[in-house]
Amino acid sequence: MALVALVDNFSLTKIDISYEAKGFNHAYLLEKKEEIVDIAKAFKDEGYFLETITAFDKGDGLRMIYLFNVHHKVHRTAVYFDSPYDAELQSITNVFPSANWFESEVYDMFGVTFKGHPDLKRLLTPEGMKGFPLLKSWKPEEE
Amino acid sequence: MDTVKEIKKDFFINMGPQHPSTHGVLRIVLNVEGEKVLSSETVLGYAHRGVEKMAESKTYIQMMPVMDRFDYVSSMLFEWGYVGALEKALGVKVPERAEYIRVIMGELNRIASHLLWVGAFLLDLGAFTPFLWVFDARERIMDMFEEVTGQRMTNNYFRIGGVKDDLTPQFFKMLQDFLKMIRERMKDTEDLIESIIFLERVKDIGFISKQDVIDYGLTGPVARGSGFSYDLRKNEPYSVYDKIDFEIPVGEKGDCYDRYKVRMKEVIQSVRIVEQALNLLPDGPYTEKSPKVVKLPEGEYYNAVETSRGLLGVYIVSDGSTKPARFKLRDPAFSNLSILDKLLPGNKISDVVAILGSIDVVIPEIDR
Repeated sequence: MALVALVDNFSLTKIDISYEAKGFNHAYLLEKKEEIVDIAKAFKDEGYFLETITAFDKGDGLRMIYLFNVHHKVHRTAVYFDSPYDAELQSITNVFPSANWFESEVYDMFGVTFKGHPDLKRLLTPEGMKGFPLLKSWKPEEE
Repeated sequence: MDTVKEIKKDFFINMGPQHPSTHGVLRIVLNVEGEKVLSSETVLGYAHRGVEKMAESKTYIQMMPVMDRFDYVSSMLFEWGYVGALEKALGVKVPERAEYIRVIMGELNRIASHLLWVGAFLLDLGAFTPFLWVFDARERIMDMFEEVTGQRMTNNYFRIGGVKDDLTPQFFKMLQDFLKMIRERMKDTEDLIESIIFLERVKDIGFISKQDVIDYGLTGPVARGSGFSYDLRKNEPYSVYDKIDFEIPVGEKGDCYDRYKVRMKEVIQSVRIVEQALNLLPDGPYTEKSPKVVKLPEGEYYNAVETSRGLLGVYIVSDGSTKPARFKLRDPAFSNLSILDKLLPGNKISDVVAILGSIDVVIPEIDR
């Protein structure tokens, strides 16, 4: 499936951004977050690789960012969607094995879990760590 | 005989977190049967310092010296990624002389990083002499950095809109001496390294296929060793790389030897870039006047550069204040290392060292 058809087949809205300002070539906002697995498949069929998965805390929930890139042209594409805190999202490790660590890191830092992830664990923070440090509500433990 | 049967044939062995060949604090749990690795698990986080959280309480300018402390062997390339993101956000135009200075310093840093890698890789494989040969050359680069930036490592040299100081006459003299010796030194070193023992140890192990490169999001020399001609300096030219003529070396098979060879060839290409940049270096200011207080307009900014290990993405979410709302690094070695657990099974323990070495990881960059 050509990527042009992405907007027709999924609940995506194209966000208008200029390359110079943002650094992404294309960006889409996804409404139904469970569609991310099929979107990842569509990107993979076109030869894209997964550059990163990350998130940020908007204050009223999380915004997830999936960044896809391809080798043969300048075409860095971001797919955003909004997710509540403590949500369970669909894992895309079956599509991109590289998502294994990316999703673990997002879980480690933000506390969202991924359904279908083979080994979801706290990737970077030490054993016995409480809370999810990149949430704005997180405070370091008092000594 | 019954007692013998009860002895388990496979067992677990910890490689690291403190192990000379993991170059930092990386732990690999190996499940081995005799010398053969059955499976492995890479455990990260021993050098995690929470920099992404720390960034949220630091101003943009306070974060600049921190950028050196991820990949401390090619720190200026990380600075480049960060100031590039800020320049994009602020719309600062960099003077041409500054761009060429950045290219010269960045490429020297890439050479230094690859030389360090070759030395350490050979040291892991049990060869000591090449380490001394490449470190002599690397030491000259460190001296040049000290001359211009005041620091050998963690240089803190890049500024918004330029660089901290202009190049000095002494620097040019040192650079000319360096350029005179480096090609011959690389050739001598290659002749020294590529003995039958080395070739037997690195050839035909740790295969990374083209599909793996896409599956695991590999970039840098690891991807190029498998035949992907992907280098941001060519594919998404930033700075003045589009005015400079250089090649992207690629491997064929994607084994450890190809990744070694790609890095050795990249050193020569970087030397070519430095020579051209030196000829093209224009006169003029080496920096724009940069603002005292940096406030990014509200929005998201992403800047990608090619470091010596691959694609570095610096992602900043700004809420319009002097501090980032979110600061994230897409660092190359994190993705490159994630393929390790797939590569190791079936190999001997001594090959683990060669395969891990060929990926070229710097732990503080991965753990952040």
